[in-house]
Amino acid sequence: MASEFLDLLDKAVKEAIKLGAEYVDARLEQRTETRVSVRKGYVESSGIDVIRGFGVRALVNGSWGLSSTDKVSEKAIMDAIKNAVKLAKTSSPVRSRKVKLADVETHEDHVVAKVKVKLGEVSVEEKVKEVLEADEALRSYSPLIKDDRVFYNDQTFFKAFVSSEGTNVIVEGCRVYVRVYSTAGEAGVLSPAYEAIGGVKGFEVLREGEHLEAAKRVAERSVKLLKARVPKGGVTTVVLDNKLLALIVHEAFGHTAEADLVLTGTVLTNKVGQKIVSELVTIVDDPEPMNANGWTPYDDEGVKARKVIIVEDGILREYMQTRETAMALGMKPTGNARAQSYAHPPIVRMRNTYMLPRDWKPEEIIEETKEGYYLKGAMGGQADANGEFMFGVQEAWRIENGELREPYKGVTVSGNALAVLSSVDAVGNDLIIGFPGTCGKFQMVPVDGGGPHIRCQIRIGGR
Amino acid sequence: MSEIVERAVKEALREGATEAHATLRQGKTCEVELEADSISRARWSSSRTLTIYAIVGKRIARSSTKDISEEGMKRVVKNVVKMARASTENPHWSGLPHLRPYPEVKDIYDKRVESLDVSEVVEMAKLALQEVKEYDVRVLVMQGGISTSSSEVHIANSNGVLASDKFTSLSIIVLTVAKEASEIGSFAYEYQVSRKLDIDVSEVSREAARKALESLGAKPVKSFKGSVILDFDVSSLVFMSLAQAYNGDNVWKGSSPLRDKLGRRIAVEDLTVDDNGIMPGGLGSSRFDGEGSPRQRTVVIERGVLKNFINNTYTANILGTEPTGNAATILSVSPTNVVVKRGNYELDEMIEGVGRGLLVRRFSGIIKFQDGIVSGVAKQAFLIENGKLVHPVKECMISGNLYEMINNIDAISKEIKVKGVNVVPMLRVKEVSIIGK
Repeated sequence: MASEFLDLLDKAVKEAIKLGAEYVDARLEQRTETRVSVRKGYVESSGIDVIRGFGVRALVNGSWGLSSTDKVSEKAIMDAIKNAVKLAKTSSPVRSRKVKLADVETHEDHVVAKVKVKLGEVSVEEKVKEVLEADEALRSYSPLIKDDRVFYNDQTFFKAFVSSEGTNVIVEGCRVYVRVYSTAGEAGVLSPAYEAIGGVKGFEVLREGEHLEAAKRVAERSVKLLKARVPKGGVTTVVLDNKLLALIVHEAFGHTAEADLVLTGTVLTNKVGQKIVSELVTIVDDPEPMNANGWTPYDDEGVKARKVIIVEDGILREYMQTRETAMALGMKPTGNARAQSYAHPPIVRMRNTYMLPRDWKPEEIIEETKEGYYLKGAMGGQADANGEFMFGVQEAWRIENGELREPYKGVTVSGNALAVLSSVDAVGNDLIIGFPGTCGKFQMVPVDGGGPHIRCQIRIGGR
Repeated sequence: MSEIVERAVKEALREGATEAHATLRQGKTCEVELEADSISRARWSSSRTLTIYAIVGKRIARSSTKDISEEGMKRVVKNVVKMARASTENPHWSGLPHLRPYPEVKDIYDKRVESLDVSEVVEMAKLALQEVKEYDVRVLVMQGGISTSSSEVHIANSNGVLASDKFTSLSIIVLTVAKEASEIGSFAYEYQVSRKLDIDVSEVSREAARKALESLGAKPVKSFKGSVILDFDVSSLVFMSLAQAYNGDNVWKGSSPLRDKLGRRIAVEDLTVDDNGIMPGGLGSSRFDGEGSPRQRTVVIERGVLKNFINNTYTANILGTEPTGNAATILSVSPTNVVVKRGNYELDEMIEGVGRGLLVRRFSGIIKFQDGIVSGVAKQAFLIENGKLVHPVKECMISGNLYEMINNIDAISKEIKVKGVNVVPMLRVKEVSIIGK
């Protein structure tokens, strides 16, 4: 399909320049997605969706016009081009600052994600069977499991990008994403648990049994927490596991280092070169590794993506950028411009964001903690541009004299990201990058994150 | 365009489905986005999706496509029937709904919204930016947008359902932040959505500016137990979570604590909640729902007593009751317009009655319907002492339980506001844990 579509994109770009655009890029995308959702041993819903469309972005007099259509015909595409140019022209007089784009190298490339088992080679029958097995593993764990859900989603994607500057890039690949939910119940008490696995991977994720292990872990956690109490609130010493740290690094800290938000004002605005958190903290946003859910070899502006060292030994080094924000801040583009689909504009988004490990063994961190909580996993929450955040924690254990005591549930953590990351006094050696998720900042994009175990001070909410 | 859904249903039956349902949605949107006190982009998009459910015995699958040519339709039908065959039986499946008469619903389509030109939308965006700056120069528009859309939906099923409807909507959202010296306040937002050309851009923009400004100078407070007044946006979150608890899908699956509470008192006597799918102009209003059943008004909570759950045909059959026109799809249920009855209090009177408490305009946290856990940060919150607002607060969490809170409401405001699909008053709830420094 590639050559036929690239010709169409090329034609569209040339037409926009003819109509008066100073810059234009065009994207074409096709995704085939398979869904299977299972509950109580039967398939509740399943299906195959094919999403296809074209989007164009035109810059006229320093103003953006965007247009998209899911009719992929020459006429529909030419209409979309005309619309984009008209929108840019109409809104130009009300733009206070004219858009300029930072220079980037142009590329011609075709990148295909390497996976072991391509999704197209797996029958729908096998997909259904594996999801049913995960559900069975979950339900057979305990008669206390009252509700169960296993959602399987896979996606084969093809994205083509052409710009008026001469960039011409195709990125192809596939993703697998499995979510497992369990609710245990006893004596009127319900206890939910959740986990997601996957990434830019093929069906090997299921053939190797990762979904079955996740199902067992989730079942175990929901049952274990039935008898847990809700703790008292207050600021306390905590050990965070890789997953909860990943969420804090992404949601509470990462967003404040996105250049579009930096421009409107975050806690990191004008702080490059300053010490902002503990010198034990180094945080990066990485387009790699290839199997992580946020894999981005080229971003949706056709920029070759590179690793961004946001914080190095506690010092703020860099923000994540699009070409537009890089120009506005006098910095370099990073390849962080991502769009949910052909119909969405690329904006600054994270890819795979994680804290680098140091030298503590995770069990040593707990052994060396006199009093506090060990917090594991995350469920929902929100964060602000001033770094304030609140997240739900899946599982909490009280630590006393270096040992784990009783479990707690219904715990939330909150505070200011910079204050929490400044209080870090131990960083583990156990880096995990593998917490796939979908980040919503006006648009949904796949991301990943990670980090080691760490110890810090945080506010706990409970009763 | 309704022929394609009819043909898709026939094609699915020909491929071997025993029942079939097809939906075609198509629409256009035009949006002018705001960022950092400026228009950032103008967008236009056109989209359409053909979705088909095929049922083979009790095996169900759903597939969709953007390609609505005859070949595209045939391809998706083949896919969906194949997927249904590969699935297992859903033991609860009892069949698609039959055709029933649809109500008339007023004001869900406005020709004036559909024919708005981008230049008119740009003018509204310009006005929004001006209003915020004129209100106070310390306030910045972080993000926002004005968006107009028009859409139509066509459905058909193998039991003779065949219907079409069209909608428009116009929405504005303004996210603001106030800055003074080195202080950055907590972000604030205000929004309005309407099916008609009647949103008040100036009012929304000034309100967004006012909210951002009033949170400057926030101070921490000590932990205490007291009354909390929930402003419209927060009240709206409470009712959104409660709507999941009376959602028939969560009821039959056992995840709702309200599952065995029909006919019982679950809230204070002053609380009455309707699910009204035929409210004139309602954002959640339409003539028929996602499976083709007629929309209706359903009394959910009447004077504190749980009267009804909301259902589609599938969940109603499992629960042994009648569908209420709340099908999101043939398998899922969602609320329409959640309409809460107004109370007798002015906001001033609600504040006057508080010895020590909080007024909360934004809440960032969780309200879980499964166990009722309410936990999160009070944003744009103000300390109340001896019946007076004292100062804005920061780093302050609220903790409680949804099902206790609806029994601890001791004042409901006279004023109600439309917040998306929710039509809600402000609530005052006593004995809530406030966790501060």
